[in-house]
Amino acid sequence: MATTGASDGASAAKKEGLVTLMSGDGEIFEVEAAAVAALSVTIRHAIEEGFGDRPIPLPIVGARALALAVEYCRKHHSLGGGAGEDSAAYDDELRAFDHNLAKVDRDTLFDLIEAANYLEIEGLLNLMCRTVAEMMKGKSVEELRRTFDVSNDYTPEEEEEVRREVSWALD
Amino acid sequence: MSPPPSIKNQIAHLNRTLLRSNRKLMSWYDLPADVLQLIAARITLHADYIRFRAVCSSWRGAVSSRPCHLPPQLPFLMLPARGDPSGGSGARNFYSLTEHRTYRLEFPTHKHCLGSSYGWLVLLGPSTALSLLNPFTGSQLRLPPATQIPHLSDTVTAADVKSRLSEFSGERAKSTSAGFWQHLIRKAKLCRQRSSSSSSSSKEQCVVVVAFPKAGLAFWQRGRKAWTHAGRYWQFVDVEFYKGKLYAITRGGILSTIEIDTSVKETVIISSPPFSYNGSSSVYLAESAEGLLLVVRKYGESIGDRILIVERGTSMSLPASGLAGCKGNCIYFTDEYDVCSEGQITGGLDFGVFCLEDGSVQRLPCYPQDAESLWPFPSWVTPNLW
Repeated sequence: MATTGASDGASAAKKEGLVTLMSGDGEIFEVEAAAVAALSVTIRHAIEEGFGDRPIPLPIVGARALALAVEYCRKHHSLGGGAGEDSAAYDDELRAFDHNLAKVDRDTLFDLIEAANYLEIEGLLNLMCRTVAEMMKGKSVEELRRTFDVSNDYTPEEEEEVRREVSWALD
Repeated sequence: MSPPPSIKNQIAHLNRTLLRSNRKLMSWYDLPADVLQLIAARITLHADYIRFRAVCSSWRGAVSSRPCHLPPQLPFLMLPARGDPSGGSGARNFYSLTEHRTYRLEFPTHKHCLGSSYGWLVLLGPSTALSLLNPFTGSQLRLPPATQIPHLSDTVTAADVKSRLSEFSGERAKSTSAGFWQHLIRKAKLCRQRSSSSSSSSKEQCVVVVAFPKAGLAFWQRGRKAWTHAGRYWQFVDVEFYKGKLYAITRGGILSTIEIDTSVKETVIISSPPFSYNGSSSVYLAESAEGLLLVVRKYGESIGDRILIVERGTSMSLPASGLAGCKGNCIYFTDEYDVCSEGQITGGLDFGVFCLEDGSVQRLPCYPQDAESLWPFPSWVTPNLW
């Protein structure tokens, strides 16, 4: 897990090789800069831009999603899968880790997609998008709307057009 | 809790630096287009893709109606319009092998399917009109009528007509005229150049519709007004487009190339086939990633972890891995009604999955009780949203 609540000593002795992240809800995470910078384009850029010696604020990423995203970065960095899911080093352990990480509820899945998108963690975003696509398999349009809590916002005319185009697959 | 002003400034600075928005997404409806595209790119079935786009305007607007990424799909089996030879109800049932369910797709009345390729049906009717239809998108394209196919009736005598018409009985008699024209054009298919590029322009180029009259073949290219005839001394059973030429094969295995671009030039390239011709075997040409395959339908030979789909039109060889709901070393077949079946399949029409490993034929759940009455003929159709 990420180191939380470490802010008490943060100003004093900043440990070598660590970077401080602050979630949107104000939690502080001290994490290995190399691991997160290797996987997250956003954090890499933030460090390059000189944010590395201050807490990096991540306003739209909640603490829970940030903890999971950091865990993802650590795992993939330590196992050498930093190049993304197609890397040859993508071994069984990473696969098992990803598989477990994907077993989250719908709302966490949403937060993780938002976090991975904001932090530009390509592998995590792809993993979560694949999970969503998997959840969509074989579901009717109504079931999809229920599953993802999206309401039908078509005007009657648009609805008619949608049906006309592809009515065969909609039932 | 709201961050203190110093943090707010820092966030604003960071977002400016990184070109980020700190607007929190409210719901799945709000997902950015690039994320929706990533999700859609992970969808593998046409039907799932279509349903994804139908959910709401935000999702619909984010992804194309013509996806390029979808992998090869197992075909649907277009089932006969039961008790209605004209297909008069305006729709047909299509059985999905992947999902094990039936979809009802619109199908024009008084039209008959001469063959299917890449999701497109070549249709005959009403009367002698010819057209292309993609039943999955509803797209249609008119072709020059059958009466304009050169030499179509050269080899047909009045006696032929009479005897042929008398062969149609029962339900088939109701569609006698169409049946007669269907007899003159035994089948038809669409050929296209295999292209590594997935851009739309290359997909729409190099499309040729080929009809198989009794002698030779007739082809039509998009943009042309008329059918062109070639190889009138041969009775071709299949044709494929490969490296800019049509490759046409006779039942006996004689392979010719036909150049179609400028002047029609026909060259026999294999005159003695590499297999012994057996009157009851069927030959097909099939495209695969490795090149052009000549397929001879006989029992006992393995095709490895691949499946072969013999559509009435275009045959395809695909790797079985990655195709949900199928196993390798199998042939997905339907009979052509003018081709004799092998002894162990009883006379009449048949369709199913033939396993090369043990020689068994797996019936599909949609197989009717009374297969003899199948008419019009069931046909494999591979879904395609192009």
